[in-house]
Amino acid sequence: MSIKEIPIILVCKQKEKTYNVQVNIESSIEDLIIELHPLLQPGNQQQIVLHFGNMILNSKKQFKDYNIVKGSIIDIIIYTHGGIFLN
Amino acid sequence: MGCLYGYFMKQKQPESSNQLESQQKESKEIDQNEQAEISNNSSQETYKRWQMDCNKFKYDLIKLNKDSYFYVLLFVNIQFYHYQRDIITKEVNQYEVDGFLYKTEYDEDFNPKYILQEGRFLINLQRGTFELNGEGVEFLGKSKFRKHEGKFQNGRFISKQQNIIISQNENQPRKINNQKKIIIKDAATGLQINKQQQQNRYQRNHNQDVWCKYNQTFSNNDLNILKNKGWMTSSIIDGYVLYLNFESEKQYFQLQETERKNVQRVLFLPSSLTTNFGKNFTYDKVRKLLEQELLQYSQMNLSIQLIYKKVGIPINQNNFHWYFLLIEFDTKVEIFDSTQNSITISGHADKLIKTLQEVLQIKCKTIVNSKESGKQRNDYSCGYHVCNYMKFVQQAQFNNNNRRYDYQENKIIQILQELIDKQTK
Repeated sequence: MSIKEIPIILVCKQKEKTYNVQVNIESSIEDLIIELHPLLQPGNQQQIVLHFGNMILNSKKQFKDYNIVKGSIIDIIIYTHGGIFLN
Repeated sequence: MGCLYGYFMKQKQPESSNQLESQQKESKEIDQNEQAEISNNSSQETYKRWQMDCNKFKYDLIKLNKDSYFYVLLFVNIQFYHYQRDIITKEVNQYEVDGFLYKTEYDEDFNPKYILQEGRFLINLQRGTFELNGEGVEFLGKSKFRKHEGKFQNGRFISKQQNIIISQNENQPRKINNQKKIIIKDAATGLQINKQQQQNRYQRNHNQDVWCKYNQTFSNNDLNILKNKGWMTSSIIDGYVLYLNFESEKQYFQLQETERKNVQRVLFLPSSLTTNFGKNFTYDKVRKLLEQELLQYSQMNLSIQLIYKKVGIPINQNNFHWYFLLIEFDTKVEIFDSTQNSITISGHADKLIKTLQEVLQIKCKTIVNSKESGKQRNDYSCGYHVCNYMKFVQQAQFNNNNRRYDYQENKIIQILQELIDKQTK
């Protein structure tokens, strides 16, 4: 494992899932979100967002921009939506 | 010092060595008692001055139930937990105090950056500066993980950095490597679960314009939802929650002390909190998630009723409907549901309310449906109704609840559009 590759932990509380992930600190947040899409399968209007220390991670930025280090825990939030169907 | 000097001046000169010893012993005892008394008086005086200055510069100082710290000092974006003792006056309006600081700084797009520090602070109440000086701890974002531990000067960490990531060849031109592998393993089984995808990579439009505002990710898709009156997303609702809390705090601390006493403060919590509870939530899970969300109140054992009178939570029901809970501490829980169906009957809110009451240690006598419920006449607008009602509740804090509720869909859409638009600052 190169020095730039670090193990991190992803937690999706909503689905009660925990993942051990190995990422390169120069990977973009979006790269990881793309990998998560088929696993979490959000609906058409839903969106996967990552939070670290309650701060949102901008998908265009890299892991190293957020001081994410070995063992950091990142929360996965799947955005919801609603309108309601009336009978 | 003046008192001590006077005391020593009054002592007689000893006549023999025995007398000297006994007088020295007696003198030492009196000295210790008097010093303690002087220190007590002086600390009380300093604390009184501290209280007066807090009042003068419009801070709220709240006495706690001795969970950990004795007092919490509140101001815009600042929560400072401290004891009464060990407060030292440095210069005019400047103090040295032991405590725990929760500070939120916002960037130009209102994305928060949390600063959590514990140790001895140099505080200037007039300027609103709280700087860690000496030994202390800084935490990583809004979490319990320690980022720095050691010596601080003027709020900055000055001890030798540990666990730093050393980027190799920092001075070399950066190579763009599109082959960076991401390996995802299920923590329960230890098996890699994205192997298939790496061979047949999921394609996505990388060029979609996304931006972060109010701690949420937005794209043109969100603006289109508002424009076309689509189903409201949690990113828009939770962004609005952050905005309402931000505005409430700002408005509250602009008031005079007497006016502030009449304000029944409301704390809005994001919908992601209850969404993360999942379908089959337990007391432990709710407690854990609430502790994480309300980390800034953990020093007071989540007794948020000492600061707020109400808590408002927008709730997503099974990814198809939005409603809103307004918990009035020790009084009632009000459910705002824009449809005519009562959520209480469905049972979705019942378990949630019961668990929230247990975790927050509050007792609400009744659960009522808001008289403003049931006004939705279409199949899309529950989220807009919730936002409009949250706006009404936020404003009611400052106008003594004497305004009539009015649902203005176009107005709330305009507010939300301006809020999430990346062009609007």
